[in-house]
Amino acid sequence: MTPASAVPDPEAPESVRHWTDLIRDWKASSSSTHLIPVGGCSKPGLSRLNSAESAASEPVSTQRYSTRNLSGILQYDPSEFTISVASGTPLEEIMAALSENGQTLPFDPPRAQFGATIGGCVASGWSGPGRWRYGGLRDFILAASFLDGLGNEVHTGAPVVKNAAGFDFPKLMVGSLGRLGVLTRLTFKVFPQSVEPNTWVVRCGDLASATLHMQTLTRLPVELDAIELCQPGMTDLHDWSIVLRVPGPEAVAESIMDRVQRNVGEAEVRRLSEEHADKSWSKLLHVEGEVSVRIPMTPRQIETVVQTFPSELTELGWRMHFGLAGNVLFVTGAGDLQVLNSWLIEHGLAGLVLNAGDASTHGTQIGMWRHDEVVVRVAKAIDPHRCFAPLLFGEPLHTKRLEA
Amino acid sequence: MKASDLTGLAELFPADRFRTDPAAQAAFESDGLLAYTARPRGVVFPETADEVVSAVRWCYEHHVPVVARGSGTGLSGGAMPHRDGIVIALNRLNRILHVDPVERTATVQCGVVNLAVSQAARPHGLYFAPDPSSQSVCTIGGNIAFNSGGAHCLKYGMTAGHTLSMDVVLGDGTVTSIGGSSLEHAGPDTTGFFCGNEGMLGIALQATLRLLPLPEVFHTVLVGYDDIRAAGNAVGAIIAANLLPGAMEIMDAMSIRAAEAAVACGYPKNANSVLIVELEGSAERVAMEKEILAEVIAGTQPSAVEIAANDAERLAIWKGRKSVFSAAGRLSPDFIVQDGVVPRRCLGEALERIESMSRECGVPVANVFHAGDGNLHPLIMYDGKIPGAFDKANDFAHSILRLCIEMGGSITGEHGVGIEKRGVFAEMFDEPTINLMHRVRAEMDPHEICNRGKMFPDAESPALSTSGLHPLEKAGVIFRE
Repeated sequence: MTPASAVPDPEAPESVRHWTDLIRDWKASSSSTHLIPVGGCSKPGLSRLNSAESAASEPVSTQRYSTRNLSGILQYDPSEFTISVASGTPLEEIMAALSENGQTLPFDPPRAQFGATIGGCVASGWSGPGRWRYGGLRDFILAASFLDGLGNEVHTGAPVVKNAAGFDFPKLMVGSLGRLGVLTRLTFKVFPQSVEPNTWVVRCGDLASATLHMQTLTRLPVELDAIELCQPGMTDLHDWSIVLRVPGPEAVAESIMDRVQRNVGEAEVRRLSEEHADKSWSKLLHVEGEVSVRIPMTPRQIETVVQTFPSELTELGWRMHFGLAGNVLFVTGAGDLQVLNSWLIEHGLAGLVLNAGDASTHGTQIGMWRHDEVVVRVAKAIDPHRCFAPLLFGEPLHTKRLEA
Repeated sequence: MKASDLTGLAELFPADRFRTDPAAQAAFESDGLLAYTARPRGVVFPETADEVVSAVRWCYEHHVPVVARGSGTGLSGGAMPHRDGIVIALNRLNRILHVDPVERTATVQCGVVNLAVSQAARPHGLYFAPDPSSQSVCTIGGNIAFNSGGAHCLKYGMTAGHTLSMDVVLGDGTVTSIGGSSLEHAGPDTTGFFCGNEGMLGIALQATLRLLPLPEVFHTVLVGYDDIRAAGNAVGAIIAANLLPGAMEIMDAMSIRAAEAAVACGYPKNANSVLIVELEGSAERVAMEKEILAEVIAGTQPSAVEIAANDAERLAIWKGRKSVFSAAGRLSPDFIVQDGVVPRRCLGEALERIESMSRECGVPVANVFHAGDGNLHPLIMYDGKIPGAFDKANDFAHSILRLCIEMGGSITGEHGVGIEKRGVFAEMFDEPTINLMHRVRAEMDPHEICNRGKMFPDAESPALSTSGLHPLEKAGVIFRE
């Protein structure tokens, strides 16, 4: 699958100056069309018009523009363990430059080989399996320059590994979905590459054993780079399985896995061949499917999720896996999103549509999005004329000012 | 507005929890930055989140400035009162509401002391990673407001990285929840954004924090060097060897002397500087890494290497480091702790230029820093009883911050801008960026009641004093980074 081929390439302003002109003209036109900046369109579901908007009484639409021409590594000193890049730089280019120096973005940014850009990665808020041990996008982003809704370029954060000056806009941009500004330049902390990581699978049998073992493993004082829970048919044909990535060197990894074995009782623990491991991680990292959705959740919700997941989707071949020890659910399948949307609402979960497929009329945000008053107000400050497509939230629950 | 105008606020609290007497005003006149003081008109002591909200709403309605305060250990004057306003003392909101070992989270009220979170999590083999030196007294609310770090944030990051969700009251009295219990989030990271707002957007009422498994073993090494540049180079060599220690700290000769005089920490005799490196993690990994560390250190021409053989020796090493600033009271009646950040590659040059500036202006300086982060903490010494001495020291301090900006760094790594660094804030951020910060603040806090006068360069000027160490610091209860 190549998600990038699913949608036509949007126009791409040549420079920050052109972006500025675009935004200022947009503002002046008072158009009912909203602007959505995109990167390499590797997650096309994230730049869709939200359903509630498309059903609004005053018709609105969106127009996408790409940052792909804002490309290039701007500053990289390996000894400093930081890298500054233009927002449209392909992840593959960044990862290659880091790899030459034994370094990496350890949160495993997804869909690099599908053309994902660093800006799109930040806007998606999607960190890969390595987030478990090392932290996610929010922990590695140091500085962000972006264009606000007035067309002004602002420079927030600082290009050093520690900074406490000013409001933390770089973190705000993580997961902003292009709705709070156009990212132009980003700086990240980077880490040394993990030494000789290898992959192990714990075959747990049923779900109850799998969740119990995962809870045990997450409290062990050993370094596991990644810990993911897969339903039967993903990594193992019949069993619920826990997939672990353990950093080397070999002797240390073996010793850690001895401890893992002692803590999972009778469950079989086996090491995957390099080829099998690569396939498994590719599946877990990129979450391919005609339709794919990312759903933050908590480990305690795993059993409920599995037990209540709509049978009609299961029968249609929809699959699921739990990333980051059960902190995020990924589902993939084909067809319309209506059933999934209803199920998410019923369980109070918010979903981000990575790929919507051809049949869906749903937008980027599905399920139950709890009201976020801080985002609503920050968006007003950043984009007073509503140039960018808005984020949509549910009704405020207890955010209204009560009479004192 | 006159003091009597606080009558409506007084009616919201029992008499013993709304104080306007001089003793209460004096007790809250500053935080850990004693050079700046202002006495508030009143202090309220809420015991519930609802009481905090009521106080904020009353102040919003009446345009009365509010400063939220935990234990007042901040070092940038961020919790210094406004003379026309009140202080909301949050220490009584000190309940740990829930520890969940399965989700590895703790939900706590904002006045809970940092160390208490780790103590509550310990029976489950978990702890809260951010460890400011004042962790035995500083509160989670303060940690959130200033995105506090600590010696171990090199490996584990700051408070924002360990805060999953919060209930907050904004400057207009609106109460809202942000974030969630999951490590992952859908939508903009507002929890991360709210951390480090310096109390200027609102007040965190309670938070759900992320807990980590307790490290199984520590390996703490104290290395002496003949010159500080060699110590700085050793940091680069350790990182280049792909090691990620929990902490890497450097102290210069004057800092060593101060610590030795205060707590007899037994650091290597005649060392011009010392480097503390601490590895932590699983037994097998630390066993492997300590061999690599030994090899790297051997190649850095150390004058002495001491390895902590047990917990007592480890704590003794850290005691010297953590006591250094309060110990500096033995060298000078007053001092300013600066908190700039430079790119790591610039550490050596930065230290040389600071020494050179010190000689030029005749103001002595000692240096301690979180070397792995490039976070400098120059200790600028002066005698406040000498007319003009504070101004001279303050000018020197700001020159150091300008040096950090010139080198591509930051004016603060962990203390915040507060009142102290607002004069150089506009030198770090350009006009459109500061304008956006103002616009965001206006949306959250339309009357600008929350921590008015802080961070932004055009803020009102406070009264100055030049008194010495914080009383808690003199008593050895709190330490500076």
